[in-house]
Amino acid sequence: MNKLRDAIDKGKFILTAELGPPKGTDVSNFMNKAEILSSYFDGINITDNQSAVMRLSSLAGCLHLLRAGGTPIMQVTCRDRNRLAIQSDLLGAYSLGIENVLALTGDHPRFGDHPQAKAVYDLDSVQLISVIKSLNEGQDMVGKQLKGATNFIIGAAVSPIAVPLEPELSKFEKKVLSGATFFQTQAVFEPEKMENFMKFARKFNVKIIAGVLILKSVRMVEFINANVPGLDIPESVEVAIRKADDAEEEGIRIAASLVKELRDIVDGVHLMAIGNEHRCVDVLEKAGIV
Amino acid sequence: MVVTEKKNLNEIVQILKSLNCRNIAIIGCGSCATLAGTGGEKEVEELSNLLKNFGFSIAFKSVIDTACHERLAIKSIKEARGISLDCFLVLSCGSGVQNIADVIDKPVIAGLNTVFIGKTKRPGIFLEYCQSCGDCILSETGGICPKTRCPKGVLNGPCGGMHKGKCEVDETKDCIWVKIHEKLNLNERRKIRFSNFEILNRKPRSVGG
Ligand code: SF4
Ligand code: SF4
Repeated sequence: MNKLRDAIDKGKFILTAELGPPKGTDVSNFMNKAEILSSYFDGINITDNQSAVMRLSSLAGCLHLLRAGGTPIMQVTCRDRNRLAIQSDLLGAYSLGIENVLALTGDHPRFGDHPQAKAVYDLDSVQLISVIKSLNEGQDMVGKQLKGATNFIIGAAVSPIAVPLEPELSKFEKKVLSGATFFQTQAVFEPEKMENFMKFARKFNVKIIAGVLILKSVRMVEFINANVPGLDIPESVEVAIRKADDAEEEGIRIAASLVKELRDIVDGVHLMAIGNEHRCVDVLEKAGIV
Repeated sequence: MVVTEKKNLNEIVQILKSLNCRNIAIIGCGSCATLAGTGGEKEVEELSNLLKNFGFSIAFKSVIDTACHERLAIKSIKEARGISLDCFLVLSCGSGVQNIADVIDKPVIAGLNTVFIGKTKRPGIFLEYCQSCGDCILSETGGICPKTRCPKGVLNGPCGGMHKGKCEVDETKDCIWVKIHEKLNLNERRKIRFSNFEILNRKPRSVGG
């Protein structure tokens, strides 16, 4: 059963979380986390060489997750594969029971652990969405018939607080027109800004799942501000983490209160714990969701 | 224009030595390489003097109006007839070097590195503006080429790494998609064409003939 499809169809508040595959073949830690998350979340994003750091593939991670009883959302970036490889991986994934994808452009290799890697970007995220849509309709991107179509739920990313915002909104609209039906947003810290974005997003019949980052240390805040493209942690949050006796607990508290506030604004939340995934459930508990 | 850079002198000397060249022809280009300050009259003269210091004899010098033009190249090289020459050292872009190689049977040595097609911002400052993709979309993108000027070459708007209008890959540069939107909005072309621009695979190309 596809829990994500179910949650979307029933209009339930959607809960997703992010899980990165290991760098190596030892999936034991990954499996532990996958099992914990599976019972609470409607979908779990398996990242695709996130931040351009080479890891076990998203496709394999999704399969491991399926075995652990979870519902995978396979992240697919345009950075590492051309249109042939992307389409064949998508067919393979669907044939193995993976039914949800998140289509991304992907961070440039320059920031990863293989900065010399050839950046592919044969497609961009908007084109990728339309490719997935055509696979769903039984055709590849050049119009050749498929023996057996896919039936993916197509997700995409959006940065609701991008500056400037207009180009981002225009791209969001293109993603909707190309076939994306749910969006997971860049991490938000200020619900007011999300409300503003929702005024625009509500014109379209798509689900908006707000990204919530679970901070765990001052170092993590500093690292993100310095290294993660397109993401800024506001000063008030940084100060709260710095002042806290226990930074990790403060991170959980901040995330939980965001989840509570976002509940009335958006269609779901997407928890990003970056290594601390076992704490995702604590956030839901503190927010009164489970 | 085609933007070129001078090759390191040692590299040129090494290759001349390895080919046992003593009597050398230096060919410049009166077009792009002159504008780039890499292959005009002045640079041919400079290189000629430098190579003399290394003991080479510069037996022929010529700046062809357009080094990548076959007829002009043949005409210019005719003037070298009767001169004993071991090789042609060409200060032009790669097309010019190949054009010279097409019309003579002596070794041809590239004196420049060809870097891109671009514009001259100020003398000595060049910006890459076009990848000669063969399917120009500039009329749709406010006269700004995202295929060339976005490091990811994305065709439908800024990627998620855009930060306060700056590019994920180089924070000192503007995100080119923000620039495209500014330009299109300025011209009240709010509707940006939904792009399914073809991405062409590189293959050897020719126009006409
Ligand atoms: S789209 Fe860009 S790369 Fe292609 S011809 Fe036009 S300027 Fe050159
Ligand atoms: S920030 Fe803009 S220019 Fe830079 S890679 Fe992303 S879309 Fe391209």
